[in-house]
Parts: sequence; C-alpha cells; structure tokens
Amino acid sequence: MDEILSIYKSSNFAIIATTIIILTFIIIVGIKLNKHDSNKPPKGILLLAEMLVTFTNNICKEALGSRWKKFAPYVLFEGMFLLVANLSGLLGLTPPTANICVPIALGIVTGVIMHISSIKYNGIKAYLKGFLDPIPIMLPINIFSELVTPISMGLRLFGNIFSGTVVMTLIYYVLGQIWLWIVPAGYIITPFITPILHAIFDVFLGLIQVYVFMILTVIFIAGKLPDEE
Amino acid sequence: MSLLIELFTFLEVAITDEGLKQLGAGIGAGIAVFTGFGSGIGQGLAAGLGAQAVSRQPEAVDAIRSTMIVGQAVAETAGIYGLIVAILLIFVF
Repeated sequence: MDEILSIYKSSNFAIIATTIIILTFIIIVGIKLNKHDSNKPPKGILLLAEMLVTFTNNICKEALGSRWKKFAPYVLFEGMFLLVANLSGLLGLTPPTANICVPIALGIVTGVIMHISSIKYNGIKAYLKGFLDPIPIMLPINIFSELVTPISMGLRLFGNIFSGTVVMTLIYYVLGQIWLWIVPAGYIITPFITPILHAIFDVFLGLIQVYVFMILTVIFIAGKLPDEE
Repeated sequence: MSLLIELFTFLEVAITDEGLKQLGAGIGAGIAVFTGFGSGIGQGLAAGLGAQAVSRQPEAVDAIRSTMIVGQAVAETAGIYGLIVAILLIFVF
C-alpha cells in the first residue's frame, strides 16, 4: 500500500525532469537548425526531429485534410511530452503520466482545443446548434458527452501507465524481499526479470499509448470540424 | 458442535467493522477488474479481423494497423475503468 501511494509522491520530480529534457531537446534542435545548411541532408539530432515532425504531419494530414497545419504543432508537442514521460520509467523515475493530474490536464487541453476549433471553423451559431442535434431533447446528453471525452482520454492513458507502474513496483518490492531473504538470489533473478517488464510496460505499452493519444486527439478534433469540399 | 460454537465466538471477536469494510472493498475490486473480460474479447476480435484484413489486402497494412490500434484502445477503455474503480475501492477503504 505505501509502495503504491509513493508512486504519487515520486512522480513530481519526474514531471520536472521530463519538461527539462524536452526543453533541452528543443533548444539544441533550435540552435542546430540555425546553423544548418538547408542544402545538406540533416544528421543526428536534427534527423530525429525531422522524423518526429514528418510522423506527426502524416497523422494530421490523414485526418484533418487541408487544415492540418494549425493542429500539427500541438499534436507534436503532446506526443513528445508523452514519449519522454512514458519512457522515463527506464531511467528509474516514476512516469509523470502515472499521476492522474497529468493525463487529465492533457485531456482537458485537448477538449478546449476541440471546442475552440469547432467555434472557429463552424461559427458560433452552428456550434451551439450542434448541441441540439438531432432533436433539442438531446441537449443534456450532448453536454455530458462533451464533458466525458477529455476525461476518458485522460483516464485511458492514466490507467495504462499506472497499472504498469503498480505491477513494476510490486515486483520490485518482491525482489527486494527475496534479496533480504537470500542474498545471491537477487543477483540471479533481478537482471532476468526486470528488463523484460520494463520492455513491456515502459517501452511497448508506453509507445502504443503515445500513438493512440495522438491519433485520438486528431480524430476528435477532426470530428468537430466541418466536412471538406 | 462445540467446535462450531468456538468458531463463531472467534469470528464474532475477530470480525471488526474495519475488517468487513476491507473485505467488501476487496471483493468489489475483484469484481470490478472482471470488466477486463469483455474488453479482452473485443481486442481479440479486433486483432483477428485485422489479421484477416491484412491477408486479404496486404498493400493496406498501414491503414489497417492504425485503425486496429485505435479500435483496440477504445475497446480497452472499459477494462481501464474497471481497473480504476478497483484501485479507488482499495485506496478509499
């Protein structure tokens, strides 16, 4: 119990660490981009940045059509934050996304963007009319479904990462107990069990959740926009 | 018979309100996690149909993969809600 509760206390540091890592990455990319000769192909960290941007742009173009440029930066930064956050378990930190405040905040920001873009592209009249769709009696249900979307996005991410973190914490606890019990067992068992668990819970599930969160953001925003001619 | 009476007197002393609360919360958490049953079936169906689709149209692999992953993520939500309810039950009681 105390071990699981400590997940919440220890994730504060990881939030700051994640933000610092991303800021450093962006500053380095910015400095290198200024010096870069645009005729040469990018190398190293610039190539990584270009791959991330191209990946995000492709996701956005697929769902949003000609309006992808407005939303691609947000989706990219969301994806970068979640990427570093979910992979921070490999550094021995508690992933920030295992603290419910972080995913819910991301979900709420996405919800706000959804509504603002809907107002911008549909006009305020059509936006308000959308709540009375298809019959006026559906108003409370529509409002409720709008409120639930960001929370469900946040809870999905939180549940995935948190369940992985809980399993990892419990197994580390058990391994610690075994270590106290027979000392050499820790040397033999730990290096074989923990890398596999990190590969599953941090790398595999973490990356899938990043992808899913980005795709869902784009799809929910696209659902709010009017159809393209 | 006397053994039974002894057992009941023991239980009467041993069962406290706090213990009953935790027992109920534990059973409830176990039932809540059972939502994973349905979402597991759903994810399996999505994966199977995705494999079928790839075998029919191998050139559409990318679109099928992303559709499948998004569908599975949405299907997973129910199971995740069950998990959250279970965690809340364990933490609150």
